[in-house]
Amino acid sequence: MIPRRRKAAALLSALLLFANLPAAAQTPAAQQPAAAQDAPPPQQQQGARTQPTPDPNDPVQRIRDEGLNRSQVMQTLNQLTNVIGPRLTGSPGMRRANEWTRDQLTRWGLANAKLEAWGAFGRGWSLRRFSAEAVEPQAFPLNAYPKAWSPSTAGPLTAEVVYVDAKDEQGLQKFKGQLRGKIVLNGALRDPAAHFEPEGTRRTEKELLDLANQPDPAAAPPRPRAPADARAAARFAAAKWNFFQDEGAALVVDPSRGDGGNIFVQSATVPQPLPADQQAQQAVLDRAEGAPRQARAWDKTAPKFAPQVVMSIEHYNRLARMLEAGQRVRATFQIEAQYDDADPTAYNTVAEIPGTDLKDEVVMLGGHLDSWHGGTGATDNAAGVAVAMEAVRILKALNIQPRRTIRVALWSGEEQGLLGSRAYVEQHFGKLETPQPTPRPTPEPAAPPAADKAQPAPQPSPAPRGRLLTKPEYEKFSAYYNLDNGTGRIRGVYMQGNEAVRALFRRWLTPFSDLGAQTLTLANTGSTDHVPFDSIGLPGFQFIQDSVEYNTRTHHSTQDTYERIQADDMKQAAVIMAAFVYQTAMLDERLPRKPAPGRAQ
Amino acid sequence: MTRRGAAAALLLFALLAPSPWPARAQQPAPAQAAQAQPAAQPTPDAVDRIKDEGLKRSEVMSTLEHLTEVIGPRLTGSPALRRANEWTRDRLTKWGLENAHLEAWGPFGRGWTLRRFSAEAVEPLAFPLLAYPRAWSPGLDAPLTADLVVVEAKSEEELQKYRGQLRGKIVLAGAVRELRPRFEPPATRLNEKQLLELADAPDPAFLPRRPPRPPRTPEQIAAARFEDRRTQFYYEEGVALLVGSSPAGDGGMLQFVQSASVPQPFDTPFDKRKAPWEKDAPKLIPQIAVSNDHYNRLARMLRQGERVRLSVNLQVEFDDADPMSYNTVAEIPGTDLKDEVVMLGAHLDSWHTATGATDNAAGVAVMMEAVRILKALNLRPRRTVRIALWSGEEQGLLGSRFYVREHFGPLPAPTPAAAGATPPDAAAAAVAERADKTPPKRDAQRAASRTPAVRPAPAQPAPTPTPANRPRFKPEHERLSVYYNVDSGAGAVRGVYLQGNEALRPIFRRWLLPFASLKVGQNTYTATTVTAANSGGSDFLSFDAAGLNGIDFLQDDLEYPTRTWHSNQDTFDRAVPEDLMQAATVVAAFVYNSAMTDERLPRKPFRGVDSRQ
Repeated sequence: MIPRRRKAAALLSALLLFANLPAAAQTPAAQQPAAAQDAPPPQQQQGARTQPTPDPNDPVQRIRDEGLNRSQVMQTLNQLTNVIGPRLTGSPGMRRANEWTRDQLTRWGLANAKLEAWGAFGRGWSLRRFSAEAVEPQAFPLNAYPKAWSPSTAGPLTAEVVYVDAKDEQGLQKFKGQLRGKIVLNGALRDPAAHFEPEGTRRTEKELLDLANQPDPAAAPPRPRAPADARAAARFAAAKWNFFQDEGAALVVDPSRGDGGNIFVQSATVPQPLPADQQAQQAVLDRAEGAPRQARAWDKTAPKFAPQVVMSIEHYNRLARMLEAGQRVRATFQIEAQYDDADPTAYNTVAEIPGTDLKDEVVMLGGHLDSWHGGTGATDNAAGVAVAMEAVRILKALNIQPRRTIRVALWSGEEQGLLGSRAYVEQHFGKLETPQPTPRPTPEPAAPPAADKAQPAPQPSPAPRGRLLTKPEYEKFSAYYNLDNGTGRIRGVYMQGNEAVRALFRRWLTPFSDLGAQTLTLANTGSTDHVPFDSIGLPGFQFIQDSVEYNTRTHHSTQDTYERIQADDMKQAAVIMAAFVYQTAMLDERLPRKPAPGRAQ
Repeated sequence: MTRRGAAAALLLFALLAPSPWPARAQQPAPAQAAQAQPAAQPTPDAVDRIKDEGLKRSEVMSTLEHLTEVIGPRLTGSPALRRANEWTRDRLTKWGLENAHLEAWGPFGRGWTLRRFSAEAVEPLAFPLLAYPRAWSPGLDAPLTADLVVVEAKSEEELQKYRGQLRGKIVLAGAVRELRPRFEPPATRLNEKQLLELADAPDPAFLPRRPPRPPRTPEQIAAARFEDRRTQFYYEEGVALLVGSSPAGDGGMLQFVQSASVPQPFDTPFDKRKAPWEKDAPKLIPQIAVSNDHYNRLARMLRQGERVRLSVNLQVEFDDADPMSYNTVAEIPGTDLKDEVVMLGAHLDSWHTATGATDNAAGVAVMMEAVRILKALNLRPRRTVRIALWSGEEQGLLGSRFYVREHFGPLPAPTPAAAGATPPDAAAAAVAERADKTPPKRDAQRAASRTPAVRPAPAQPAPTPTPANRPRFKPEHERLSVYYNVDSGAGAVRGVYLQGNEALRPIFRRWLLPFASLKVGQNTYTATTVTAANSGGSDFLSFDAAGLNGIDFLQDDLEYPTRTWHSNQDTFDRAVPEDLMQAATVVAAFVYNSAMTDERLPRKPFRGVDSRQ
């Protein structure tokens, strides 16, 4: 079967080639990027039909053919999500994913596949058993999920449920002496509205146009400080957690955002005192950069705290309303979690396709392998990992010999603050020497990433905060490409204020206009692993993607499963990522950079 | 008769036989010398006062909250349903209704209550399963931790390979469903196009009858036989627990997880089928359904060769103390025409995976609110107003069918087992589909069209009656003016189904006038559509089938078909207070108007008991 099919394909290719010789000449020749630099990008309305028939020998066409017709991206996703499961940083699931990706990349023929330690992270945590039920006055299963690094209950915990709807510290006082050994519902119930808008969306022309017209982010105003009421809310939240702990609550239940049985769940909150110093306290409440580091749930030295779960709003409201109606409600929770302190080191998976004449230089791509624990981290970010892996698989399958070395990196610790990629960038390329303690991004972003809004949020001021210290690899680096906004197809690229890449990216997107990817925006996007590259002036890019259901349903939720993955979108993304990496590897020059921070120009 | 002929006949009817009732209904009633009691005078501003009471002093949400958050799910035969029966009776009494009582029907069968339930995957990795037991599933003797296996057999021979390997195991017995992103909004209101289609709908009596389902192909019969055989094999081999998938829904939603499957040949006639609530039903393997996200995950793990173990705790309580079930019935006595009756109702029973808020605590709360409004205003109806809160609806309109037969005759009494004998509606279809292999019929229709307008009539009267099926009715049959029903979720009323009774059109048209634009809170509601189309799937069909006026209101869907109908998402949170307040005022006005007309509402010609009834 195989030889015959191959023969037929060859015949078809020959026919296509013969029929379109003049047209083929117009196709941007990938091997000679400079030649086509002046070619105007095709108009948007030109569909695939009006474009010249592609040259099947063009590497970009071969990438497309391999990626669209012989894709393995869904098998990779299936393994990562359904077999390995959630991949919480530091957990055994994460380590299995590190090892499996390393071995799979090796099987595909990549070189130097390895786990690269990035530092001491903290405790591993995995769930061994979990169940939750209301048992009185009626029995029904509760849809809830433990927060990551929550301690276990001592066997099944059956206790009375108390609804703490206090809105300020004053309101807490009436619960004094009432919470010992109880299950606490933490916060007011919330009325979910009917969904008159779809939860799944693709980017509209208007959104894409807004992105295309974005100004240089360097000129954007710096992000405003947290407003006073947000600070007051943060202060009350801290007080509440301390109150629950001091009062001896047996278990604390948060209402989930979202609805429809969905649960958005991240790490447990560590009750701890705020810094006494006024300025330091405000910095903590504002989650400001350079704020004193408070204990995290994964720190081995974190103070002990009561088990914590998040509950779907339907069940949270039901319990709260039963209590409001004067009923005595009892529930049973069993959490059996296992901490893993054997190896505090965390790892990124790294592998290469060695280059040829420019093999000392490197083009990188990646996604983050770690995930939250409520689902299987399918859209966040097994999708990005599978796409990056598929991109290098495509290049290997076509036996493409890149000029520069292509290096895929699958990060961990992303969800806790881009930890794996930050450490990697610092170890390999350099860092900004800052007078303040190391800035850490907030580990629990309350809002969806700015990347998915039509109007990107203003970015922090890019004003240099310190002196840039570089390592030799800094000069050998060309670009890093990242994918981390869910399962949606690629619609374009965020240029992170680097106008110099526009002409190249425009040309590289041209063969994909029929696949819906053509928008270049000067805007920044944030919140994922290209940021550490970008922050020291290295070209680090994240693709614009369709949201599909990322913001509404899957981002950090129990519904982030394989079922949410759109296979066609993943194939498209892998092809475009492979093409960008290939093109970058073949340029005569490294990708142009924007002025680096902290360095005399 | 052609379509044009029907229109001409309609026009002729309108010209030659103008209905006397609409013209008088809102005028002072003429003196009725013959009546023993003086006629109550219609209050001129009654509808304005109804709106005022219903919108400014509504209690509909507190009724709904009590039914859902305090009483909880109300499975037919269960103690919770009995609590709901008693609470509604007492509440109606408190509001001043009379003769509030529980009216027995049955025998139905066993009560069933969940005592404990949890389900977890424990190996190779642990995660809680979003799952529910099927109603009337037996419990497990003790918490069960066992291997999960899937029987990938397509023939008896392949089945035999599993011989001796399933004892004590958990079997994954369902189907992997491809789940799609939700690019359509789950919540909708009827748009102009849908309303226009409804307004233009022809008399359903003259629509071509739905073609009978094509007979199964030999391949389908063979496949169905083999599925029966596979089930039988599970029983022979001593499978400990069956895990199915949710018939619909994704993410955190399970939909149409209803009652347990009883093993029986797929072609068992409906009147011979065993239901799991029957006391002499065979002993069943415990059965649960997991969400499609989790089902697919388990199935994909097994396909990759993983050894999967689950841990399930399932404790249930059967209740055989009283096999009878009850409808709650209460009245506002009439005055000069007090022997005649205007009825309104909704079903009190629900499925068990949530709290049955939109199906149908919402309808119950709206109907109760309608009579509360009338009592609060001390409006004295001429006819007796009677509210009935049914049970057994989800098992095939059992409570209302029994009631209609008892009071009005001659509807053939369905035994519970025969409830699905001729599926007149979605509920009966659901019974028919006990195997849970496909969602109930109405869902399929609605999912396909999303337009209630094209819901075909489930029970069309045969166009030509025969003397053989012209039955004798009981005396009360003559005295019932109309029965009104609400059972399509928690959406506002947008109009009325005539159920083929054109004579009602001018009357209803006028009664809807005060509701052409009703502002409730931030929302403005338009209830103007009168459609000749049939509605389906609820208790008004029991009346319609007996030649009585059984009228269903046309409602906005909101999230009924997409999220809440027979789902674990059917909770209090899904109800929109403004919609229910609007619905209660419309219903109260219709009930009041019906109670005040000089004559009973006109009926459509009785075309005989449908042979399929």
